[in-house]
Amino acid sequence: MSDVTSDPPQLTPTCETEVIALIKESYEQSRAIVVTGGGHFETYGYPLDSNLAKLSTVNLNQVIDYPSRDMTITVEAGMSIAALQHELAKEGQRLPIDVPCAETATVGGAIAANVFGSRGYQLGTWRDYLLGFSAVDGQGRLFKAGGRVVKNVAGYDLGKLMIGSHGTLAALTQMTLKVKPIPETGQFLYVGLKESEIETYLSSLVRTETIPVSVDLITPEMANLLSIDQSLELPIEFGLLIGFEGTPREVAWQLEKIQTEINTVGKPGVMFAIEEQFTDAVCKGLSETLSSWKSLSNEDQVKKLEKGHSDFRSSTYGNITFQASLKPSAIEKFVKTARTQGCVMQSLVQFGIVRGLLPDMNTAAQVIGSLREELKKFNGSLVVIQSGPQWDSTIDPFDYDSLMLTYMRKIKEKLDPRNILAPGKLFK
Amino acid sequence: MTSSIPLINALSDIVGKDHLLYDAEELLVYECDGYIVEKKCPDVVVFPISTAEIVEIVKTCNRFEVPFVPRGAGTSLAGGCLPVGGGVMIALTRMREIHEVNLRDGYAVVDPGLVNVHLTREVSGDGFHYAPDPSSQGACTIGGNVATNSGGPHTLKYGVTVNHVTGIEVVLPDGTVANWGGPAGMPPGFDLTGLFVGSEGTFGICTKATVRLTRNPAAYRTMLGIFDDIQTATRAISEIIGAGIVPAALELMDQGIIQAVEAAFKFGFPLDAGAVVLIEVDGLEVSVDDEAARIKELCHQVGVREMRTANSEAERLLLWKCRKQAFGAIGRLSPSFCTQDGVVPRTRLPEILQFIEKTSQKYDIRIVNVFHAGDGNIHPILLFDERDQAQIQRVIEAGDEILNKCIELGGSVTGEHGIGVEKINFMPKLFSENDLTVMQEIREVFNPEGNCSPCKMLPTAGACGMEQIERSHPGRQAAL
Ligand SMILES: Cc1cc2nc3c(=O)[nH]c(=O)nc-3n(C[C@H](O)[C@H](O)[C@H](O)COP(=O)(O)OP(=O)(O)OC[C@H]3O[C@@H](n4cnc5c(N)ncnc54)[C@H](O)[C@@H]3O)c2cc1C
Repeated sequence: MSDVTSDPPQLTPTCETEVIALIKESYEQSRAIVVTGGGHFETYGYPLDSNLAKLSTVNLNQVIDYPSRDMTITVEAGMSIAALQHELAKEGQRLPIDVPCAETATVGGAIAANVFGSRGYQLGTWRDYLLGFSAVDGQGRLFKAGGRVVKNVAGYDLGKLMIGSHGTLAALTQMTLKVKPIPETGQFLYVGLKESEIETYLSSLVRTETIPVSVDLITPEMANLLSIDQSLELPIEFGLLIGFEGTPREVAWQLEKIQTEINTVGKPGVMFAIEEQFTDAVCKGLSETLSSWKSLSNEDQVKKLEKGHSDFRSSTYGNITFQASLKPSAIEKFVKTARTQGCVMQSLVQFGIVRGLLPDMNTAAQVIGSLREELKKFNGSLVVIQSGPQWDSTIDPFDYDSLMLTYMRKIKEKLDPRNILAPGKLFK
Repeated sequence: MTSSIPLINALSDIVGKDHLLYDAEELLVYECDGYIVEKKCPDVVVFPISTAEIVEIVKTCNRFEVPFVPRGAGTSLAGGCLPVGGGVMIALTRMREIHEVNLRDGYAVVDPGLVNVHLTREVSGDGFHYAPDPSSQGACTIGGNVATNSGGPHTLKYGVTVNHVTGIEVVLPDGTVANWGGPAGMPPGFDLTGLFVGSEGTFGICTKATVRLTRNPAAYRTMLGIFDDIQTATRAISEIIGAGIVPAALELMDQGIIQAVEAAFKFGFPLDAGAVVLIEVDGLEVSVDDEAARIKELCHQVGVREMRTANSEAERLLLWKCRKQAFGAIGRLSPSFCTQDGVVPRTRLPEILQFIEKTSQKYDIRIVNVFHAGDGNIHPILLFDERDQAQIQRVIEAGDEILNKCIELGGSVTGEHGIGVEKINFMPKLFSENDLTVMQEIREVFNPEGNCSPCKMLPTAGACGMEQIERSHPGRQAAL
């Protein structure tokens, strides 16, 4: 008899062979499991049965090969992002993908969840860095695709399937990544602007002579959260955070140039280069604040928010975050609408992505519904990223088109025919 | 298979009688692509003008149970367009419209038959370009680039085709039209666009692509490093990459190529140099000089004979013309040639080039090199006379030996040309049985009957007419 109150079993294999054995066993017994890394995306997608056994990759955490002069690295899936960056930094290199909670997030988990930040537009996301991988599918078959060299078109690029598949197709065990040199320096420009001027400024940036590595738009409420979270003093208004990296000369030239350009576009509010010592805090805030908000207790948040800013709109922020996809030119319109519904938002401008926090658990279903309606006007879409424990089953986290869903199912049937890997997480 | 009258009639009803070929003589043009080792005529070639026509063609092929294969410009160097088993070739060259250019949102939506460079020309007046620039860009199509995940000299810094394709419309082998990805952010679901890119026509036919447009860099510095020997040149390349510098392009030409290119274009290359390396840095005006200076310093450290810098845009363009049209000049060296497309980790370049030299001596076959050195993507070009049977055999063996060495050094047998039919036998050397089975299963998701581009990429898909291919010899083949 199963004991429903005991914790689900934790499997912590220490090598690929054990992963194969464990998954094979689950396959043979048709017993479902969840592959986990840092566990940050457990509440992504449809809720899973909480009694499922967890196969954690955290003990698969070795560097397999690091030919730094080839600018590639092969590591095991359970290595934390921070450990990876630490290893790379020894050689003056890095993986320029912003992953929140880098200390605990694993490389495999970040790939499976396709985590990235706004630097990804200029510097690339996982699909630009994953050169090859090994994984164990839902039948316990170890397979690989790609390779260890930076250019390679032999065979199907199955890495693209692994990215964003949330462990529903296979357990990643090893990956080879392209890496880049660490730039000498980096700095952000802050530009305050009015809601009605968003598109004017964003469209002007398309023709900037500078090469920003990131452009984030933050709403006043997001500026507030960022300030609290990272002890920054950002004006509580709409703002652009434009990031530059390179040699001190390149960064200085670009900071000056872009300010001149922006001044010819209109009359921005406050505009200033954020001191270099705060660059890391801004980066961390931009990548983590929204997604880690739930880690503070609601009461704490509310107190902090109310203390700082009496005009802050809501004291009932829940922990549902979403990611909307739309064309960059539609960001202003969407942000306006979503803000009237009380959302706190940050936009990865160049991608055409808006990430947001919903104001209230109780109205979540209704707000998501109306945001999706709005997005339809721009052929956009919306995914619920984190849903929290009080899941409202009337909210569909995804708005797939039906053909996408059909092919996702067919692919899963091939790799996980008994539906044992995180069953029902991405589709029912 | 001989083409049946009912099939021809049905296809003619779809595309119109002026837009299909079935006459044996006319079909000869389509018996091979840039890889002319193996030949096979399709039974019919159709030239549709729309997605709707392609859907009907595909359904008709299924009804008649004949295979079909898409074809762009036919510049594939791996036999991707070979109609194994005959059947219908769907030539996409009439579909070459640019449907939308949206500079504000940084993308264009184009037809599959659009010639690569035509897109760049369309947007260059606005200061934009389409970044993937295969050397064949004056002829090859965006659909072909999507199918093969093409690279090019500037993909070292800017990334290959897949890094620039955000969405596609596809006619799947059962006639379903799918739209994956697009210009807006990251729609939910698997990255089927990314999966499709590089699938060499085996998942279906790409009928539209949404591609990113890239701002032109504000400044370039284009340099030519002249080296006494190829070993020193490859050391310089390793030093540059190892120092964390990623130039926009880093291309090597060895003495044989220098001589041919000089004869053709009279650039002023020193004919006694062992190798030249074409190096381009681009970006901000404030940074290109610093970066160029660092590169020059590294080249001097390893013993470059001379560093030259293009002093004008005209000189820069001439240098690039020499590089991109190097293949055209190879005809001056030999009546026939065969190009390989191996990849090695970049620090192993000196080793693989030494090996190529030894292989050349071992088989008494002249081999010249012109390649994307910054990526470790080699293109040894084996020169021969196709009238000499013994030489032909030696060319095949030498080529195989070089690719095997690439695998041994931790690399791959193809960096950009694709597996096609040419390198199918290398797949079991690169991949395990499980790997190939999984790939086969993923293909079955889209192409369960295997009637779309049969016998490409995976050896497991074989046994379907390979015996009908004329396995003649390595022919005169375009390079790089
Ligand atoms: C001189 C020369 C230089 C070259 N330089 C480079 C280079 O620098 N980099 C590089 O990567 N390649 C290079 N190539 C190889 C070749 O040009 C590329 O592979 C190119 O992408 C092929 O495009 P195409 O339109 O000619 O396609 P084709 O040769 O017609 O077809 C190539 C493959 O794609 C499939 N295909 C074509 N269109 C579609 C479609 N719409 N949907 C689905 N499948 C399709 C075909 O079935 C075939 O398998 C070179 C070739 C030559 C001759």
